[in-house]
Amino acid sequence: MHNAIKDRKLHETRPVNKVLVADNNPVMLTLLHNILAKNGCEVVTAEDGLTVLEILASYKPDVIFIDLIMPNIDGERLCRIIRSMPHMNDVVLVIISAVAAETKIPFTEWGANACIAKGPFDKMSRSIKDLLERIETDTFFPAGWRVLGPDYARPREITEELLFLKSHLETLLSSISEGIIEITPEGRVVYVNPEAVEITGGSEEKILATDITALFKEEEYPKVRKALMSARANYRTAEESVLANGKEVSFTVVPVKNDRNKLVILSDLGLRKHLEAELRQAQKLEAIGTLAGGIAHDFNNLLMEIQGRTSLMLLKAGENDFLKQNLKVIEDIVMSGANLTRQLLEFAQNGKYVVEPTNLNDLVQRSVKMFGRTKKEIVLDLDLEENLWAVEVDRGQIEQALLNLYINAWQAMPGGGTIYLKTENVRMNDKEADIRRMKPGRYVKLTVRDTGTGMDEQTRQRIFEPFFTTKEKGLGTGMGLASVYGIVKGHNGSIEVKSERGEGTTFTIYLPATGKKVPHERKAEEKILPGKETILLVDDEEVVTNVVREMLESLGYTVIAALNGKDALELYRQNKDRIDLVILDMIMPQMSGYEVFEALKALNPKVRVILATGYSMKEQAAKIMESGCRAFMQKPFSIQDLSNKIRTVLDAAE
Amino acid sequence: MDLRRLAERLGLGEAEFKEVVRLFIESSIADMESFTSAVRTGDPAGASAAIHSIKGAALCLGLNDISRAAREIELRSRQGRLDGLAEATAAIKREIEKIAGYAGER
Repeated sequence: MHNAIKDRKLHETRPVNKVLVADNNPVMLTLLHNILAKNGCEVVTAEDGLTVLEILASYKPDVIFIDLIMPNIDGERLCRIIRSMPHMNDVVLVIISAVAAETKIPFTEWGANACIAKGPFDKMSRSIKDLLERIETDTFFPAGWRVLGPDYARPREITEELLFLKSHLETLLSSISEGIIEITPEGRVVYVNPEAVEITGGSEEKILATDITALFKEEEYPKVRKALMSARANYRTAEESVLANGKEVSFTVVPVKNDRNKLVILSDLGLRKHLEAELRQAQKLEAIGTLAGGIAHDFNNLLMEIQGRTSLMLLKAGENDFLKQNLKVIEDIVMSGANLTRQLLEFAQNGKYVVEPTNLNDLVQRSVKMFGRTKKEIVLDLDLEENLWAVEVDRGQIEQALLNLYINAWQAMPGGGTIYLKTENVRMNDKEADIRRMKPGRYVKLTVRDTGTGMDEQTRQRIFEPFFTTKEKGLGTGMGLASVYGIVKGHNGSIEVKSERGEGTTFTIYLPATGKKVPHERKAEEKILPGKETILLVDDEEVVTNVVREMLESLGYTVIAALNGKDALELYRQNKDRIDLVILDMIMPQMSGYEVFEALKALNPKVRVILATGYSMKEQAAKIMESGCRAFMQKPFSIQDLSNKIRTVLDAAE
Repeated sequence: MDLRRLAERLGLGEAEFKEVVRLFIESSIADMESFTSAVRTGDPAGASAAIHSIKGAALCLGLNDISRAAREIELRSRQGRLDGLAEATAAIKREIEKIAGYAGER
């Protein structure tokens, strides 16, 4: 900024021959003109900022005196624009302002070299003479950037209020999501707010003083001109859709009250349409999710019984290979069914139970290792941020979501290809967060990009719907990406997809960062572990109670069973001293799992409880886990899972 | 009001002073019209902008009665209040008339 002036050698003479003065008050303008002319200067005058810019197109003064508060581009903006013009770099800019006599104004930040406080003319003219002398002898520059004439300062209430009001209005205009442009009756831009700068592209300095039509595509000129012409007092023009900076933009003209200027209101239509489409899609997916979650509940209970019976038969199958082989197949089928219900539950955003602070890089690396072992034709390219912020997630679920994304990418690359994975820390500002209907703040961003076939817009729009698949029957369930969507949403995150036919697909996931520390990982047991303790089993589904009782008894435990919360509490009261563990269903009629858990805690604060449910109610489950429940099991579970979970809880130190 | 003494104090010649006083009267009348219109339509921002212009010029010319009354109006209208301005408004109009009389403009 104005380095050419600052760097000039001291005491170099610099005659001031040509001066430009800008002030909207004719009295001030005449007085300034006269005093400068008396000092031998050639003086040109202008009544507003816009006229100054017009004059500067063909005239280069040595000094420009600029009134701070002026119509059609004020002093501050005018200084910035002039300083952005390379050929005006060595022109001396002097702000003249009544405000300067009363409070500090940052005129050097705007590119001005000095400031003269307005006041009684005799004193002001002394300041001007003093300044001209300093400029000519160059003693002005090393003296520093100071205000001349503050000795005639006036009381400050009005000015401070005026400045406060100005800055408050600027803040308001910067905060609104519409672009606002003020134009003169001739269509020249004299004010532009930050949103309008963003919508139309370029910078404030470049937009100010230009013709409004130049901000739009040439073919839009007639439409813009027509709207500008039809705006009149108390009449706001109808919204027109025009193209600006490659975007579809709505355009409305509003006359300014008691003024000949007009306001042009712009709004990014592409963004608005995108937000509306996103909202519709989210509502649709939410409705499907509610439905899917309900079906999954009933289906899961059936699977639990089949799984339990199969486990029991396997225990008794002995050396009968035929039985063992077929029972294993049944187990596999049950697991496939369970997988489907799990995905449905994930899609319904009801599957998140145990969240832990996690480094997403660990999950990416682990899932990549797992996936890479089976899909040799796919290259996995990792670009992981070194100091990635932690995220609070259900690790199993996020790993599952990652695998689903890799599988989707692999299926889109039948001849092989590359999956690019990238993690990074990002800060989401208010606007970005608004678009995603999230809170602004710190997020971990994961990008999964493939070099596959890509998809058309129609497919892209439906990609997260459950059971939507482009694959042949039997080759895919259509649940993979639906569950990814549910998992991410369930973690208060956001997922976006960009794709074009032949251009590959990119999924971008944002998960909220946490300040919590990432704990060390634990390894799961794999053997069937027996026990001899007494367990109270509480489940309202009789078939489930029966099969789990038999599983527990086959492991060596003594089982007391209850089909509702009331009975469970009574049985616990009677057998408190011999019950070592309670396995508690979460969703039950009359008394919920949470109510039973609280009542059990009242009877014995150290009670050990494992929560078991097929229907995931993440809020309730999280509430019980936070209240001190020891572990959680999702139905259907195998005898192996059950035995391990029980031993983990019973063998843990108090 | 001694316009000659005022001109001397400001360091202006008689002809020059007459010229700026004439400009002041013209622009102040126009500003007062804008001010009255803004008050009538309930536009405090417009009212304060018009009166701010009069205040600055009056201050520069040492017309302290006008700049004081204008300051009072500006302060009030910046607060969004357009009531109770009659006395100060009348004072400004009166002073402008007076100056016009001295300067032989009316």
